[in-house]
Amino acid sequence: MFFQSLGSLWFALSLPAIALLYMLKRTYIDTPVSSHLLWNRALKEQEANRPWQKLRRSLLLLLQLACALLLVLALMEPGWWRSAAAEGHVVLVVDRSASMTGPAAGKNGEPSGGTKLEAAKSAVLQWLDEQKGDGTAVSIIATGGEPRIAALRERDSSKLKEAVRSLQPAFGENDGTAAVSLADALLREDKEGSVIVVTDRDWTDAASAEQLKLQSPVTLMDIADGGPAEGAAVAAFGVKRDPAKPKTHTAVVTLRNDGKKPALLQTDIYTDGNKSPVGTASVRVQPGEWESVTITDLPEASVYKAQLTKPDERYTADDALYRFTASSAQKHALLVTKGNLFLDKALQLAGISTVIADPASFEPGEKTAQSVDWIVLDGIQSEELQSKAWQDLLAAKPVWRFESAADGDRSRSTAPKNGTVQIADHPVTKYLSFEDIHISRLVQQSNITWGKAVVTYGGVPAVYAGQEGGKPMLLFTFDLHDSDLPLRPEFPVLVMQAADWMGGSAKSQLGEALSGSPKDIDFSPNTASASWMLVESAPGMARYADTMKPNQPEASGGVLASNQTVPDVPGLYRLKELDAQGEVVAERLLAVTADTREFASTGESRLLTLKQAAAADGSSTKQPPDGSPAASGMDVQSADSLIRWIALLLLAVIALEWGVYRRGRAI
Amino acid sequence: MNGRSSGDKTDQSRGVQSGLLLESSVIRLLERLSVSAKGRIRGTMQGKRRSRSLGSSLEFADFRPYVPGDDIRRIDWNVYGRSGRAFVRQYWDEQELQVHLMVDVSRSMSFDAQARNTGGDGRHAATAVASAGSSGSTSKLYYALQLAACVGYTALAGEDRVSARLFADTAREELPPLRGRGSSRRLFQFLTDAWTASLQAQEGKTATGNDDMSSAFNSPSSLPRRSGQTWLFTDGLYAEGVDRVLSALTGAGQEVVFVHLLSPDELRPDLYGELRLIDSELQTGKDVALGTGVIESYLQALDAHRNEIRTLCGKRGAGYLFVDTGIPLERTIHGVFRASGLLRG
Repeated sequence: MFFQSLGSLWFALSLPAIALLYMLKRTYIDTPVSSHLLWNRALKEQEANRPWQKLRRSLLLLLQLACALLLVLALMEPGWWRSAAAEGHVVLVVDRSASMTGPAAGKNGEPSGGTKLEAAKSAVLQWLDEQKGDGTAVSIIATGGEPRIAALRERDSSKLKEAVRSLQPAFGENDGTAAVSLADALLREDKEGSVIVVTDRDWTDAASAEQLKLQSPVTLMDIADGGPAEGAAVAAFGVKRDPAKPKTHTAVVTLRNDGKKPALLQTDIYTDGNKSPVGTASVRVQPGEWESVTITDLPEASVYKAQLTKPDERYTADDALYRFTASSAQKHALLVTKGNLFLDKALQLAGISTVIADPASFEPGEKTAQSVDWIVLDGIQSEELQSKAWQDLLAAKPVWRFESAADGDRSRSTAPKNGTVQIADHPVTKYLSFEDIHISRLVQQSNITWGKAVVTYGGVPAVYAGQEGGKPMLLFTFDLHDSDLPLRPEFPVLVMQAADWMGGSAKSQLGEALSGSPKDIDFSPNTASASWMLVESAPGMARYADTMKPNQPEASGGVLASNQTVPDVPGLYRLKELDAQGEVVAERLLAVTADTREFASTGESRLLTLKQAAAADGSSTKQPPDGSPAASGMDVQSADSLIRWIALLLLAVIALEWGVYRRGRAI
Repeated sequence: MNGRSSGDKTDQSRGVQSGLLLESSVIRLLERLSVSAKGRIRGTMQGKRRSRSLGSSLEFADFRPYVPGDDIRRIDWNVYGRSGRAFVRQYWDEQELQVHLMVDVSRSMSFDAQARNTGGDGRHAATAVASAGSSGSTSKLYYALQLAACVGYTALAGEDRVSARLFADTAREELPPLRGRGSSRRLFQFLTDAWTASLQAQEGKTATGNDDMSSAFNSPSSLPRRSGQTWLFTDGLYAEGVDRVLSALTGAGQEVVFVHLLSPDELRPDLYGELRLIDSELQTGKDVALGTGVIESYLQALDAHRNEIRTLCGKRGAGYLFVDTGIPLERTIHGVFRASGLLRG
């Protein structure tokens, strides 16, 4: 409780004034009685000999005093401190962004040893213990790439605590704005409700969060940062083959100084999971600046890791980066053509080494089948490949066929009516639009059972893709010579994706992905199941890797979805693909990184300061009045004015007083 | 004439003026009653009551051997014929009962709720009139005088001797003993005069009465000279002296009947608010804020007071009759006097 106008207490002097009036009052009505004898006995304690004894039983006086007291109280403008979270529906938004994995400050400002997320969790648990009312419904929203509702309108404290304890950091992109917006939306229907954001206030999207027009009262529960000002990160890392020296690689490492002082940063390069570094370099970096350093003469390896020699005390997730070299396993394709330079070049750009064969002069032999991974038939009529050697080869290998109507056979070919293109979702057509492409004639196909049309041009299927006998198959129903497709910039992309579909391109590793983000993965056609395996977690991330097992690749209808969610904890993962028999089809590596923006030095502009949008009528705002404790931390309370109740009480007392006056004036 | 406008009061006054202290219906009722005394009576004159001494009534008492000098008319010849010895028959003497009526005329007795309108505001006066009208209350003195007239008339009709006396702070007028129904007119006149005098005294505002009841009975002359029955008509509003009065009367050979009269205003006071209560006898004031709590303690004090007087009467062997003057006279005679056995018939 509080009083906005304590000075009005002076009006309380009216109370003794009223009492004094009663003391001085001498309007006793003369009433003769037969004798005092009995009255004397009855009135032994009633005799109003002393002034204040007159007051003892006067109900009217007491009521008048009550009136005056209520008036004085009303003048003092009392209010009632009400814990903002004690009633209704409270939505707790727990920030679990990567920056929350930094060290938290203890009570005296020194690092407490735990992470900020742990501090946030204990703060929430404490809030649940101390400030949650019995009837309070609590929802818990965890931030992340998409806000996750950990608990919805839950009243059971034990379930809420369980939900809080199970929160884990999200290293990927964090959409805090969405989380706060969702929290506000959850409260839209509730009269009594508030949002409590538990955060270190270091938000990458702080600026957009500030733009939110929140209808509910918002409180920030600040988790203090206990980390040192000094921080460093491996900002970028690249490895390339050294053209001058065969079998050696050159690495470029970019280091960033997040501290306030210049620092000499040193980095080590590791290969293929070896414990000892194969190279090291150091560079002096100005605060807030980036510096690159080149390391040469690195041995050949499939995976390189650049890691700061001295671990960062602030955030460790950004202390290492992985790079993969291009695969050396070259794929070979037999290009059966009568001459198509565009296709040949495009295949070579896609990393495919082509063997060009003219069906008129080439007859495949034993070696051909071994040395070739798949076959491209460019406008070759089937009559030309009637020999058994060809038939065997075509049956054993994946075939990419460009159909071309023979000059004499005009019946099958058709001219498209218009230029509209319909593209089905398929790995081959990914990223492609086929805009402004012209195809003059297409060969209509019948009884294609092994695949479906993924591109339709002018209502006629242009590209079929599918599998036959476990082998990927591709059919273009037009001759490249009848189209301007090879002249389009999309053509090399199409050829590369087609080559991927046919059996592998130069890309052998999965590359790099942001923690928890979706990633398109092309599984081999034979793959029946796949699993993520942690090869090595990023520095300092082992504690999370133990508790947060990676989600295994999702399958829909028995087929692995091409869009998969990468594991959450930063580190190096291996995706193992197995076929139906349990044989390993492929093993690919993926480097999962945390959102590096989380670790960049904190500018004031990134500090979150949420405010409730001013209510239109101004009356429903629950912010404390001026001069009250600041709305920070967990001490926030809102004020309810009591004047309405006092006025009500005053009317009741006056009504009672009137009743007493009519009935008589004593108790 | 007192000049009051109240109809009740005018009736009373008219009744007094015309000597009609008792209505004829009451008198007819009283003629069927007689005053009963507990013990045997020792009187001076022949009466209707059995005396403690042997005498010449028709009621047989005993046999006694004849001794010379006895009236030979009293010898029982039947016994002499059977036994040969002369026995004299003895008879109880029948004597009259001495009934003393003592009426308290102190100011508190003549206090009347309607008199409050002299000091009270309109509201109080209105309630007082209303209550008086509904319960038919009259002043305690008038009621006491009526009761005294009833007892006196009953005694006179029963050929008993009746004397009356008024007392307040001291003994006042006395009516010498009367005998015979024909004397009832003198008794009524005496009592009516007492009422008139009290009204005049009230108008003159002369305070009579004090806190000690025994002060009126201190002198030997104030006590009855002959043994008999004494009826005390009083409101008992005395702080002390009740015990001494009972003791003195008993000592004077009196069989005391204490008739305790209280008005409805005293039994059920209808007072609220901040009042200055003025004692009608002492004229002293008392500032009181009256509420239900005070009324309750007053009623408790009243009960205690009544019990105290009843206990004293019990100790002294005196009869105790409590009379609410709000109840009509005939009902009181039936419900209190006859029920107690002090009036019979």
